[in-house]
Amino acid sequence: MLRVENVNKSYGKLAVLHDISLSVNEGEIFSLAGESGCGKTTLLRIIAGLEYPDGGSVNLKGVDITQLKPEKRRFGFVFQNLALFPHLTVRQNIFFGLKRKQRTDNKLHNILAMTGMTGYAERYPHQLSGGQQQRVALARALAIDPEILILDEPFSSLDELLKARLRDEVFGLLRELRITTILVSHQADDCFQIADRLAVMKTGRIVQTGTPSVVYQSPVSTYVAYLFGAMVLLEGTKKEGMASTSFGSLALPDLPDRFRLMIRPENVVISNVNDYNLSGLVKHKTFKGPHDLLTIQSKDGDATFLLETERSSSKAGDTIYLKVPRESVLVMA
Amino acid sequence: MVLVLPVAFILIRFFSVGHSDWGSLSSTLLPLYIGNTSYLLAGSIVVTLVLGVSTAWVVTLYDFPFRKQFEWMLILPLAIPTYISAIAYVGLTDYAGPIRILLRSFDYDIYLDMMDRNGAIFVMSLVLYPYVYVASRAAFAMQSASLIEVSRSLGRSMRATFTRVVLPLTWPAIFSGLILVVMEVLNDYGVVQYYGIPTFTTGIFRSWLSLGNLPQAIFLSFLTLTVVLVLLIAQVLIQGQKNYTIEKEDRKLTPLRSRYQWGCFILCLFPLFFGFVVPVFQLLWWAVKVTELESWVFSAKLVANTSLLGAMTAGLAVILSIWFTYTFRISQLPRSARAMLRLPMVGYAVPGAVIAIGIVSMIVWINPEWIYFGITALVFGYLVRFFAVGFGTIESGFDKIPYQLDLAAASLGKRTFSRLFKVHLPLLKPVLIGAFIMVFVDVAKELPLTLILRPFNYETLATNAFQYAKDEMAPRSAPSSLLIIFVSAVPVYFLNKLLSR
Repeated sequence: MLRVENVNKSYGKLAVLHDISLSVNEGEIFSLAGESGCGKTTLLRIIAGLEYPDGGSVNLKGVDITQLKPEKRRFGFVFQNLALFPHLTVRQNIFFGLKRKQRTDNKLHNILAMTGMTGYAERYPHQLSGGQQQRVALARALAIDPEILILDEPFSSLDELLKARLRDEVFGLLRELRITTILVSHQADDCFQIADRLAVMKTGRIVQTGTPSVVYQSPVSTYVAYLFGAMVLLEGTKKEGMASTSFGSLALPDLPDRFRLMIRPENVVISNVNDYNLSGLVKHKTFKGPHDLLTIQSKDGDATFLLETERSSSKAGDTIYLKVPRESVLVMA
Repeated sequence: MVLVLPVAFILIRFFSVGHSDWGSLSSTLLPLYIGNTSYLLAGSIVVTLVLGVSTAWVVTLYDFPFRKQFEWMLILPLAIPTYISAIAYVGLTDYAGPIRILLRSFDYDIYLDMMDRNGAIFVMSLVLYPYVYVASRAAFAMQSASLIEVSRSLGRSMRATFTRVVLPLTWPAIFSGLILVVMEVLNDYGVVQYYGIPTFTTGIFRSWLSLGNLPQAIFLSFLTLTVVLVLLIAQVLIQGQKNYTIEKEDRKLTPLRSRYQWGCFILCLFPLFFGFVVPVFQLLWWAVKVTELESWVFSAKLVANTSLLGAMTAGLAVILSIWFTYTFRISQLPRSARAMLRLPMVGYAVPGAVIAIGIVSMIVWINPEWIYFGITALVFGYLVRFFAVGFGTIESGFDKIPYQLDLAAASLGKRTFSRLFKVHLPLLKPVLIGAFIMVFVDVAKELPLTLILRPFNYETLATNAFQYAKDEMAPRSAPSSLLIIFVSAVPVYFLNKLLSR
């Protein structure tokens, strides 16, 4: 439905986007992820027509819209700061993008009901809570029946509890309406729960595209891996066909000479008994609420790594044994 | 409180003096005054709005050649007092002016007449539009960019976005700029007198200086004052209505490349050219043409007089402002009490002629002999009118110093007054200098108040320039006018720095 091809963009000498290509399918929820400053917002703005690329093209349903003005695109844009018109009521905000004929009570009623804002039509934005403002911003974007809905860090201004609730609601609604959506978020749980597919960006390039589970399970780099969760990272060398680390050796196929091993902490099994391949000393144990954070040091004292675990019975000074299933280890050259 | 007295006096005298002397006025002249004043006000409101808002909009939103330079240069016309620009334009277009000399060299001639109501609107608007420009630009620059972008993504064109989103949100700020324009037009005496347009201000002059009819002058002052009060109330209502502040993390507007770059360029060049370049050019042309040594020597005396008046007023204004603000600060008065103490701020809104008549009526009431007393009355008049300028600047300066600093100094054993001298005043030095200069310049430009309250034969740069023009010797006014413009350009620089922060 939407195809972005070879898009480049620089501000003066600073290149922010290099040769970006991606496609979003009809009805799909597509997420752009990456650390701040990676260019994801710029890409979003180019898609919305708020900025124009230096090179490349944006196509919607086969039509080149690269130079089309934003007001001709009918893309609903929900800004990070929401950008509700402070001088207009909820009703006026929602009707803002509609022609006079389209501004019916029926339409208003439907949109308000859909976003859970029934009864608030005559309020001004400053009379609403943060979550309600969020709903109005979404309602306003949905009101124009957008070709594509664009959400820029939509939940970042909300506190954790509210965010989780609202995210589930919005997620459900978007699925139900089957609206093609592009979402920018630097938060892993947003991307995972909402997105059908996602693209990870780093310094103006797309480094990986795929479904959330693929990107999580098989990240192409440590950058991608860390973006979506904690990671145990071990330096290793190849010795006698085995992967040798400061914490012990693992039997792994197809090893280069020097490499790094990445393991998601939830795949690590801990034991106090010596029946596993890796071992180390517990240096610190930090209480982290739902889980503990262990700092584990190698026997020779050269290397340490951090491991998030369930509530652990080990204490500082204990020797600890770790089991790592071979299929959950990623080898990076 | 003393600073409010002249205004209060107008009110008191209006209600206590017999109303019999108005007869001739109300039947013939009053409709004329009302008609002309309203016409001038309406005209200059429209022209300054169009010029000020449009230039501010393109300078904020679009990128075009010399945008950065225009940003501050568009304020420059403010340095030219209305009457000086009026004199220069008449000189430019009359028989001996450069336009017609040039045309005659091609054996062609036209008759240009600036000296009517439309000419006055043209001249005044071109030097007053910066009030609207400055207010609008500050308001536009504060706009959150995403509001404009969201409007466009919802299908509204740039023009619709401007009228439906930007204007409603920035209107209170623009209005406050517009009010300054209205007050300047009401205050104006030079232009309307020179162009022969009878208005309230010329009426006040005529009543007092020509006819010696103080009650009539008080009556006219009272009417003018009513207009001013209505405006002030309107401002309070509009500003109080809704106050939208944008959140800190919002992206501000950044200039875009415009397809109509040269259109923007010409739009900005127009007011700058006709509001500043043309009058200054005309004055320079005169100055070069009439470089008699004598007129420059005479200027030295004028400069001395003007500087003395300016420095006295500015010094007093600064000292009083420090005293006021510091007293507020240490006493931590409640808001309502502070509002009461703001009453002297009204002086800035009151036309100079009205203040002058208030002071005259005060003096006449106390002891008519005193009217011939030196420059005290004049300085007092300036102080009433311009105190607000210094006070506003200094108060906002004080407000930027966190109160914790006072507490810290107090905890270190500094007493009230040594705190002021050791902590606040050193921190406020640039603010104090800025306030001093702004008051000084306003004094140097002020014409009507000076004309009424000055001692006999006492001339300042402003009265001198105006007197020459009135006596059909306009070229000789050039040195004084240029000096005033030069001095006035200084706070324009300050104003711009204040804005760009």
